[in-house]
Amino acid sequence: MNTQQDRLFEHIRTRFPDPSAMADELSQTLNISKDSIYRRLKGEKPLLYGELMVLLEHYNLSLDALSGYDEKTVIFRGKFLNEEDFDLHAMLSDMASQLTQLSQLHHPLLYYISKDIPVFYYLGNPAACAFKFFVWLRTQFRFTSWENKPFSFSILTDELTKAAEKVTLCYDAIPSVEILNADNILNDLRQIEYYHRTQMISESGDLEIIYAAFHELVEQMERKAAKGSKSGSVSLSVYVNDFYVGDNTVLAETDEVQRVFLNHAAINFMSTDHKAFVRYNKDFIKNLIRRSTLISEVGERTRSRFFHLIHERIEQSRTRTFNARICP
Amino acid sequence: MLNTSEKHYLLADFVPQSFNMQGIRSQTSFLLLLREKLPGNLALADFLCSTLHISEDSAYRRIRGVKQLSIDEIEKLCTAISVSADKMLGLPSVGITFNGQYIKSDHFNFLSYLQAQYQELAWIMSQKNKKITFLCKDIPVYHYYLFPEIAAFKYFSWMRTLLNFPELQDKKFSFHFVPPDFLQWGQKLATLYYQIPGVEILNEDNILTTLRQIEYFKDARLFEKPDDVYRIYESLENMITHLRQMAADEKKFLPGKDSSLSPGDYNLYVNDFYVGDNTLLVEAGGLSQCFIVHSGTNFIRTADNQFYTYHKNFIENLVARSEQISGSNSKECDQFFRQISERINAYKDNKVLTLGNI
Repeated sequence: MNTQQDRLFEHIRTRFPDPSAMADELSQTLNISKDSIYRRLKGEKPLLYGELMVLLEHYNLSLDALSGYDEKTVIFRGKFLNEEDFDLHAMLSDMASQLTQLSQLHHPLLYYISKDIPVFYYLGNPAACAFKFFVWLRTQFRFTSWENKPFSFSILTDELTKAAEKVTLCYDAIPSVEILNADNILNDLRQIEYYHRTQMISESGDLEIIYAAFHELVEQMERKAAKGSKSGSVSLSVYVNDFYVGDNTVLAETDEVQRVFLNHAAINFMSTDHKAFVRYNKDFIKNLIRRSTLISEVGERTRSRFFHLIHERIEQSRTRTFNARICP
Repeated sequence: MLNTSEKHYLLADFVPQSFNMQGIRSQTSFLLLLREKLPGNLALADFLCSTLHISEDSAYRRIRGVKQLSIDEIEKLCTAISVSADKMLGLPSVGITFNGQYIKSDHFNFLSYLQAQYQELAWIMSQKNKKITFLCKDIPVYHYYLFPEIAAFKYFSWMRTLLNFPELQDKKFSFHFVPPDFLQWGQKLATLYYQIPGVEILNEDNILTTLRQIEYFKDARLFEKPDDVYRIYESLENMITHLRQMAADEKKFLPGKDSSLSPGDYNLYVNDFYVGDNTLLVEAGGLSQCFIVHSGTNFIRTADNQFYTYHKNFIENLVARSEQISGSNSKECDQFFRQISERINAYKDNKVLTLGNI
């Protein structure tokens, strides 16, 4: 059986082009005989706690990362979005930078299993983008600087508009597979209605602009799906799964690295390269695709019905909103 | 093109903000820190004995530092309570550690998954100061488990469609395809869940997950007997009626039982702004854990304090913007459950536009 001690030495071994040099260096580092080192390398003698600490520090190793070879233990990287150091522009620049890095690898492909409309579509539509920024800052994170502020399109400065457009352009440069459901729009519609009820969007003109923006955004999605491509020849495969609404999980696949991004606490993401975890998620996605209908390039009838369903949901929400009596 | 030595660090700008290196800990301080993380009354020596399968004498020799811990022992101890070994040892951490198991496509694995969940709930139940908080995407599964027809449908749809069990791929739904032991273990799970005080944050659209699944089976003609679908809708309605009663009584209790005898306090909040993602916060015996869902029905969990606190704050923010409908708030409670019933009826009467009937 491959023990943690074996894994530790396997990891250290990768740093020595000449394997015989490893025993010498370990002997010096731990201040024990080469004989004792070989007994540890062969697993005949366990490393003592103190020896282990010396090796972890000397080779700058992580025990958690070694455990990551275990199927059930998964290490995630992530950064929590907090008011103290949150900078929307920096977040968008970070997204653009990561997408650019991904696009520079060999054969990049993104799978997006949507709970909501994929975030890149909002970012490409200024009015929808302004609305989503307001949702994130004002309500989902309840940043105190946004407390009691009503909605205004001025949230979207020129600088933010450019940064958001850049993210969309970067996403459009990567071949993607999107798995959608007509109910992906429901979160947005619920939020518009909530802001109307609570009078945080009090101008009916603003409401009309937001609903129109969502119609426009859906039309844009349909155009891209019909072409089966994003910008130029970058492929886009869109599947409809009417059984399952996703969790906004993203799986990034390249020749060099495979990574799963899990969405948590609204718009936080954490990622892992853990092989078993990525493989399980990929199998899950493949199974979803098998049970979905392809509506990009082909399947015009289903595609038209699908986007019609989303427009219907938007119109139903719009009717509810404009028929609702608001009691201050 | 980037060179290959950089590949591991690509997209790795997400670096945890905490976990500053405090200096590597000695074995004694590692074990002292471990003792602080242990749930409830669990003694360090007992924990070492049961986790490492060693005698009491060997455990005390490790605590006194007479015998040094091996790397495998450190890993087992940290994994057992879902904490980062790096953090416990004072090493700079590469991230947040989660543990979980994958549901594989066979009967035995699925059953053992249910049994593992039972062990988990039994442990929570045995602790003091316990509480489960559920930020729901779907109605919590435990409620389904008590109503056999809808429970059978949920099991079958997970196994056939979401988890791709090979032996069910050419099968249509029929109640007899669901093994009785699944239903029994589900009921055992629900019985435990109902004894643990809890908070659930729901939205009227949580019911759509199940309604979409039923609709998919209707559209694809996957009911062996088409009339079975009405038994499933009826079972779903019974479940909602029972949820309504639990909300009114502020207690989780089994159908037909006296709610006042249940130790499971029930606080139900409705958030009409945000649909959750089935995140669970568990507090029990001084241990706090956060469970995150992935790939449909799989969970991973962590006891990382920063991650837990972030989610606790996030959920408290949601609760502050939610209506508490359990207890005396009967008007809002009636309205909420009426909206759910309306959704069920709309699907039952084929009045909802879907890809299948548009």
